[in-house]
Amino acid sequence: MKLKTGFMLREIAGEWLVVPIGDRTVEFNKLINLSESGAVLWRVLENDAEPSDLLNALKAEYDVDDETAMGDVMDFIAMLDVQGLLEE
Amino acid sequence: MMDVPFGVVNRRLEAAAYLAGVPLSAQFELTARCNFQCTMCYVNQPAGSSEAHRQEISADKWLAWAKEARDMGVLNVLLTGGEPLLFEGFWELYNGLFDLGLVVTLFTNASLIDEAAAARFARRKPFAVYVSLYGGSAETSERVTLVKNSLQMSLDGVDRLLAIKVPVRLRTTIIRENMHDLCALYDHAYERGIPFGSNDYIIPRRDEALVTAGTLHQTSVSLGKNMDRATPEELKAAQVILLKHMAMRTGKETKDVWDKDLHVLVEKEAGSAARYEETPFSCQAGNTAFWVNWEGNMTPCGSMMQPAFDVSVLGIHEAWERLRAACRYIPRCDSCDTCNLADTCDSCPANRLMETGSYTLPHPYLCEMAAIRKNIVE
Repeated sequence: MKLKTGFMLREIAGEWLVVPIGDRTVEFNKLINLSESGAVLWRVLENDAEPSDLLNALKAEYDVDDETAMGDVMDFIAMLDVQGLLEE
Repeated sequence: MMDVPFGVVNRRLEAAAYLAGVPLSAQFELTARCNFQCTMCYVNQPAGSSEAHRQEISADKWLAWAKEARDMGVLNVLLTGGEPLLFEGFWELYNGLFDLGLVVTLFTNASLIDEAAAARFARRKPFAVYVSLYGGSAETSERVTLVKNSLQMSLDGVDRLLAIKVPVRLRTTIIRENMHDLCALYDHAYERGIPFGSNDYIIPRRDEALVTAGTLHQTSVSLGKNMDRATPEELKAAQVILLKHMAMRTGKETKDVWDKDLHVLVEKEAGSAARYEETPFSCQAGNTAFWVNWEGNMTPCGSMMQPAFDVSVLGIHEAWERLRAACRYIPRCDSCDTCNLADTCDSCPANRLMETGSYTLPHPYLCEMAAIRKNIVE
């Protein structure tokens, strides 16, 4: 599982934004505002990753149980999918 | 993860950027040259001016500055002029900005947006394009811009942008030469279903401001090319007619049209909701935004020649730190700060300096303009 190319994660004044770059702006002309944990997951997905990789990234960063963390991971993946940000 | 309207995000970012002391927005004035020679313009040079052309900053340098600005936290970049599409390296710069993760907005008269330009915009869409029109009719537009067929050239550019679904907003500056034609001008926006805003306050030429400052003590003055500035009462009368026309077209109340549509300035639309206590600027200038003029000097905004810092010498980061510090030393105008017309007034350090030669003195023209805006919807 991997993010499509053509997006840049930027930290601006303490907020995390996903900005389309280059040709991607043709079909994706908006910004995505991520939480801090969302930014952690985004960085993992910039390379090929499994849900377990995302789970481990959250647990490394936050004091959270497996069930909660996996729930957050699956919600995040679902939202990326709805926005069309994941590679087929 | 949130997909929120950009204005909402921008307002939140502005507040955070202000607290952190970093810029959020950069305005790049690529050239003073323009293919129109509008009679009231504060900056224009002829399109063919080799002297002006020679002094322009290269696209490579603008891109390096944009990268530095991006690394400091800048999100928004505005490209303006003169007419920015006259800038020799425009496309190199424009495309490069998109690779840096910046949100790009453009101010243009749209007259140079031919099919080839539209095709390029289609491949990298700007966040918004603000197009300046100066007349509702061909005759009025020619009288203001001093260019034959200027209106049609601009409208053709607008239509090409709309065909590729680029968000376009139409703007005008209201002067004596076009104030009879505002309804027709608005109709160009209405018929295309795009937002329309106007500016009713004009300033002297920026490069003459230090010469004329201190002499502008009349309500009707000669500016630049011997054009008399309209009086506040004339501007009120013209805008009342326009407001009623807009209300009739849209079915809205005139108050709503005034509050939400007509007098929405670009800065307000971007959402300057933060309170900037440390400088006398109530807008983003020197607080969360900077302007780099066509000669490569960083100033708070496009109306100001000072304080100014040479970006070629200092770089963006150092120039910004010095600008921010300098803005904090600009004195306030006590009577403007406590005036009950402040929310409808254009009084700011830039305009006060232009009008009076001093940062701390109000000017009758600004006061009268604020008063007519307060009561414009009766």
